[in-house]
Amino acid sequence: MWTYEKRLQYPVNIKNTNAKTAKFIMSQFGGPDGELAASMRYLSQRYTMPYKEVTGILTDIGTEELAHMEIVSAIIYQLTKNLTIDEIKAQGFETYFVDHTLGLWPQAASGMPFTSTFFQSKGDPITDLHEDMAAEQKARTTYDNILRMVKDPDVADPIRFLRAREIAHYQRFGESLRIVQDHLDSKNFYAFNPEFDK
Amino acid sequence: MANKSRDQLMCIITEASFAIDDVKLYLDTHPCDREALEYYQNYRQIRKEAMKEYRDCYGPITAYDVEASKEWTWIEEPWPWEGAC
Repeated sequence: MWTYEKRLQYPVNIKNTNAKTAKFIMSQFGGPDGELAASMRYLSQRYTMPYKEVTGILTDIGTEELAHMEIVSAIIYQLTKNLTIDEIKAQGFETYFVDHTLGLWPQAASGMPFTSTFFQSKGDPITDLHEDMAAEQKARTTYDNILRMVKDPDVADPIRFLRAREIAHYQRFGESLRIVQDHLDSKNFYAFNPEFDK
Repeated sequence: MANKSRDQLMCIITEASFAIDDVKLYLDTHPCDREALEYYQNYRQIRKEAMKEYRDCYGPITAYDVEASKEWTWIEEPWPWEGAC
C-alpha cells in the first residue's frame, strides 16, 4: 500500500501564471515520457521480477515517480491558477480550457491523451530494464527541451531537480541490469527468460 | 529552546527525506555498502525528529498521525501544491 505525505518532494512556489508554459510542461504529467507513464511502467513490471534488488528498485523508483507527478502537477496548477478568460485566450489555452476548464487531466503537449501504450511491461527482465533505461533518458531529453523554453526561475528550478533525478534513476537501472545479467548464463544472456522459464 | 518555524522544519524534512529517497535507491542495488548505510541512519534520525516536531507544532503530515480528539485536523492545513510551503 501507499501512504500520502502532505508535502512535495521538491518545493514549487510560482509567482507568475503562464498558460503557454503549462501547456507544454503538461507532457511530463500525461505525455509519452511523462511521470505518470514512468510510475505505471515500473510498478507494473515489478510483480514478476525475480531478483529482490531489482524488485526493490522498481518499487522505490515507481513510488518516487508518483512524487514527481505531483511536482509537475503543482507546476501546472500554479501556472494556470485564477486565469481569466482573456488570459486563457491570449495564451493559447482555450483548446484545453474547453474540455477541462482549469482542472488537471493527463495529456501530452500535443493534446494526445494518456494511454498505457506509452509503456511496456514485457515479462522479461532484460527487455524491461532496457525499456526503463531508455525511458529515463527520454524523460531527461524532454526536461532539457522544457528548460530551453522556460525562462522563469520559479519554474526552471523544480524542472532541473526532476531532470537530475532521471539521471540518478538511469544509473540505478543500469546497475539493476548488471545484477540481472550476473544471474544469467554469461555466454548467452538470452538462453532463457528468468521470469518465465524456471 | 525556541521552536523552529514551520518553514525551517519543513526544509529539514524535505532535505532529510530527499537524502533518504536518493540513498534508498543506491542501497537497493548496493545493500551491503557500510558508508551508505551510515548515511541512511543519520538522515533517518534527523527526519524522524523533524517529522515529530512538525506534527506536534504544526499538524500532521500523514493521516496516520492526526491527533483527533476534538477535530479532524488533516484537512485544515494547506495542501502542498498550493505553494504555501
